[in-house]
Formats: sequence, C-alpha cells, structure tokens
Amino acid sequence: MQSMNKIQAIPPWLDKATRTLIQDIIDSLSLRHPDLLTIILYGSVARHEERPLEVPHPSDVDLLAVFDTDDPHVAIYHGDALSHTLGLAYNRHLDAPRDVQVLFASRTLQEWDPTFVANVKRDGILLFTRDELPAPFVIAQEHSAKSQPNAL
Amino acid sequence: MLAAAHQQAAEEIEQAIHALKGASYASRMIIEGAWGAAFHWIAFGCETKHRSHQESHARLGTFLRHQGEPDVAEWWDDLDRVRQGGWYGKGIDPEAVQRAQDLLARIHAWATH
Repeated sequence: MQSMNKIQAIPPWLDKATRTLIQDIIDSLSLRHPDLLTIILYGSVARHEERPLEVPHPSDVDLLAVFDTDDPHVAIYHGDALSHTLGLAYNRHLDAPRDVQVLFASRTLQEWDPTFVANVKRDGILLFTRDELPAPFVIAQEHSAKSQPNAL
Repeated sequence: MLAAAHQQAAEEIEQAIHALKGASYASRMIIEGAWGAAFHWIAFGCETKHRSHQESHARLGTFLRHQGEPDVAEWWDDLDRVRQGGWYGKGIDPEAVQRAQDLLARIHAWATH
C-alpha cells in the first residue's frame, strides 16, 4: 500500500516500448476524458512477478482507470468512447511486446468484486491521479498508515 | 481450423445464446458465449478478408491492428472487458449482457460483409 500514497513512475522493469504505450494511455485518457480520476497499475507487473518477454505468453500489464462517477455502468455506457481512446494509443505503439489491459471503474468501485478491489489495493501502484484518491483507496491508505506507523 | 469451421462454431454458439436469452441464470454464459462467438467470427473474417487468422485469443487486438482492422480491434477489446467484468465484477446485470450481444453483432456483421 505504500506505493498508493503518491504517484509513482512506470516500473523500470518493463521494456521501453511498453512503458511508452502505458504513458500514452495515461496521457490520452486524461486528456480526452476529464472525468478520469486515477490510473492504478496492479497485478503481476505491479508485484514484479510478471512472466518475462522470452516465454511464449508474457504477462499482460493490468491498469485500472477510475472515473468521477457513481454510475457502475461507466464502462458500458461510455464503452465506445473509452475503447476508441485506448485504440488510438494502441495503434501508435504496435511494437509494444506486452498487451496493456485497461479496466474501467466508478469512484465507488461498487461494481467490482471486493476481492478484486482488495488485490488492487494490496498491489497497486498509482500512476496518475487528478485529485484525491477514490474513497475505497483512501480508507485503505489510512488503515495502512495506522497499522504501519513507520511506513510513511 | 478452416474458415468454414470457425463460421460454423460461431453460428452454433449464437444459436445457443439465442436459446438462453431470458433465462436469469444464463447471463454469465451469454457473455462467455458472445466472447467465444466473436473470436470465431474474427478468425472467419480475417481469413476471408486477409487470408490470415489467429487460432488464439492472445494479443488478438494487436493482430487485428496489424491487419488494418482497428475498429474490430476496439470492439474485441471492449468485449474482452465486458467478459472480465463477468469474472471480477460483483454480478452480471442486463446492461452488460446487452453490451456483449451488441458488440458480437458488430463483429458478426463485419465478418460476413
């Protein structure tokens, strides 16, 4: 959870082309969608347990993009626009050797399973935030600070 | 698989989806089916249009973009997101089921025209 306290750099253990794609995704989503709140890297790459590029199926990069809405259907009702923004970024970086998967969420994360949210909280690396962290992550941050008073 | 086999697989899955419509317990299966049928339609469409297709869903969006099919890639990526919502989401609602079917319909239309 320490990594969720402030914006971090895209992990240097990723190859340059994939890092460039991730940065383009962050820039494109934040520019074209002003309601974007936060982008969090989670999963095996965040834990630095990713399968390497040398194996047949290298790990994907997993991002969670959180939007400033309570609507749990944000990914469905805005699916075309969000997919197009991502598509433009993907088209610019066809050389990236890893897929970058982006899931969308409302600021309450109510539409996602609690185990999934807990995993994102546990492993997440904050790559972008426009303002304050969404509430589910702030609560976890305060809990983390209390349980690990020297962590900060 | 040959293109015709992919077409047959896609049509059979679509028939199964049609039979399941309206069953409250079938939401997850319909989304999975839409994803599977879309994969087969993409293989069929790529083979008939570009004489090349993938037998795996891995990096299928990237493959489609390399084939000059960015719209289909976006539909596929979106459908894959809906599917992941089925696995990691709290539950399946009718909007997600409808979205999956809408995206499948787009991919079907592209593959057969």
